[in-house]
Amino acid sequence: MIEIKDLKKSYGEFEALKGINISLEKGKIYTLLGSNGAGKTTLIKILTGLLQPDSGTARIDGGSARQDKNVRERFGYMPEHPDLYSRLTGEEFLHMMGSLKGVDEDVLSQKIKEFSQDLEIGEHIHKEIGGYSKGMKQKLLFINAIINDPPNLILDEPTNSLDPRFSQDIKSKIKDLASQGKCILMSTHITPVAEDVADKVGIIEKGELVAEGTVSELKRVNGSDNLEEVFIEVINHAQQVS
Amino acid sequence: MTLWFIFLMFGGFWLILSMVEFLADLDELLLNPSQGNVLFSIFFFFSAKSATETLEGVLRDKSQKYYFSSPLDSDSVFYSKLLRVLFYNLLLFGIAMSVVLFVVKIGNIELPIDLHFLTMLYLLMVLAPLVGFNISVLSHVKNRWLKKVNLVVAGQMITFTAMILHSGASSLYQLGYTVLLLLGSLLIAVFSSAPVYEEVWTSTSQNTESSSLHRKSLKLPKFISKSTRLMTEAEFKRRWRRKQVPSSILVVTTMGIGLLFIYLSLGPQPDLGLGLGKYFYPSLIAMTAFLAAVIHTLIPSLNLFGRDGARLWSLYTLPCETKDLASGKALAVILTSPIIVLTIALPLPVILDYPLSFVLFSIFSSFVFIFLMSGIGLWAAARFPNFNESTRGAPDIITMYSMIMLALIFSVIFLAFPFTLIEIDRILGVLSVIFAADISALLMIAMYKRSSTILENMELRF
Repeated sequence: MIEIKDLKKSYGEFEALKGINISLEKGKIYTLLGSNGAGKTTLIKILTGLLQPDSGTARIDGGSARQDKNVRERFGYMPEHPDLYSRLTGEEFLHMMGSLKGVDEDVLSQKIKEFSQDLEIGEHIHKEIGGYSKGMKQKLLFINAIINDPPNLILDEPTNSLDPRFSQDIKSKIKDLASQGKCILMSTHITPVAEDVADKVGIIEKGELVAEGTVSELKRVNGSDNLEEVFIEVINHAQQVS
Repeated sequence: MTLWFIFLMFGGFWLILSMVEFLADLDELLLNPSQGNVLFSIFFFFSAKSATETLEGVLRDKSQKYYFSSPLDSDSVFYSKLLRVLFYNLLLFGIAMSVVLFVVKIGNIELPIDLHFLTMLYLLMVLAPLVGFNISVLSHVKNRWLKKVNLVVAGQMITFTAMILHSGASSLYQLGYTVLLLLGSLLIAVFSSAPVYEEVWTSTSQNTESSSLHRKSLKLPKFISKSTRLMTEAEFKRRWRRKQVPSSILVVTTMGIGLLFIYLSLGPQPDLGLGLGKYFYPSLIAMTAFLAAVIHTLIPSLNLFGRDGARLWSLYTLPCETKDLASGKALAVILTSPIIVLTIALPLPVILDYPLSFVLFSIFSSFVFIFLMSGIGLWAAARFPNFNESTRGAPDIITMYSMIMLALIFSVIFLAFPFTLIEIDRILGVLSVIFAADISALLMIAMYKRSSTILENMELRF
């Protein structure tokens, strides 16, 4: 379960988050939709403990990832940029991360094998990450996020750099994971992705949650049958108000 | 390729060691190696250095994609990179020659070198980068036959150079032959390396080589926490593959060999006046061990977090103690630090037939340096991280200088008392240096903890 209450964060004079409230239960997918620089990544970084909030709380299963290390066992994180250790092989990276997350040695090797076959990484898993394509790195990050089977997933732009086939594949995996009871918070600026997977969508603009609801609710309220149009309309309205 | 580098490096060492052995047999106080040996050692070292530089700085440089996607033809890119390696080596050579000239002038030293030696040296300094560059490029070409033929030719260049330098032929003959080798290397560059350069860069910069050779795990003792062990292993593998570990070992070993050279040159107790002769070697060993610890432990520790930069997210989201992870990274650096003891602190005191207490003092003093540098290095890495990708996390020069000074001050504080005590009582002196090593290890652990606290409070904004 993920709960964000009145979350605020500033970088000097710039207010990145102006009091965000989000609540998400298990088995649900919440998609944060926003333009570039809207505050999606800042929110996710606070939730995962990479940043300290100025005020408010961001809790995963009741705890803060920044303050309580045990909370970090309870979520898998996929960052926006595939910054990985280029001189390790994919297998070594997953092995290190999986072991440090407490996955049993035998189970881990089996999981790495299964996931890499499933996501068509194949023999590349034995090669250094420096030689991977962006899409391949994205797949590796996805495997890393789910390797210890955490109850919560936080995915920052998970379909970035993936071709349509794998993008579809990842989306269906995300839905599968939600159906297994996982609580999933993901960000994207690609509206069809949000439309495909989200149980609930939050549109974030200039650090504020300007609209929230299911895809159909948002469409109905804004009188449109296209989420992209809804998004543009909501953003334009938010900019006029500010 | 790695094997080839190892061959080149160790070949160079073998030559140096052969010279040491040769001179030791002659029991000469003044070192007087043959000009051919000196020239070939320099040539060999610079060939290997250029080959490594080409692989790491040129072939693995991903930014060349901008050149290859621009209207520039691949030959222009090739020649610009070749000239870069060539000029860089010549620049280093120029600086080294200036230093030598300065020392020779100041010390009023007479070197047994003539115009022929200098001309040959200059020609070899042009030849070495060419040979190194060709070897590096051609050993990565896809076509196996082309690779073999070209490498044999490049290998012959080295063999011919050795033969010419040791032939004892006339100066004119040697010069003429070296010029011919230069032309030959240029032809290889133009007709073999240049046409395949783009292909080689594409495959090498993509770095798709299998790492099965390095997949073995480090066998670290179980009393170290699991997270520390895993982090040490990952960090060590990365440092090894970046060739940081072997090159650092190489530098430290060279320093150790340098000490032996000095011993062979000056004898067991050089007369420095003022009756200070007996302090000469202990001071020299201490200074060399300190410098080696700076190179091998302090400087690599300083960029442990800066180099990770945006990749630190992976450590921050792990359910492990930051202290364990930070210690794991530091441990990967000091894992090979005993090389300082093996090559610097131990050989010369044994050769000089110092009493056991002095040998132990030398060993434990080195450990004091290693522990202090590791602690200071990790603390500074967390306190003053440089997340600038283009500098690969290297600390700025002021930080680096300040930390070296800090390490020096701490070293003096820790070792001054044992050094004084061993003059009075050997047993107490040894016990006090062991105590100093203990305290420095404690300080190291305290600094690891401090650095993990700093890291925990750090925000990853990038």
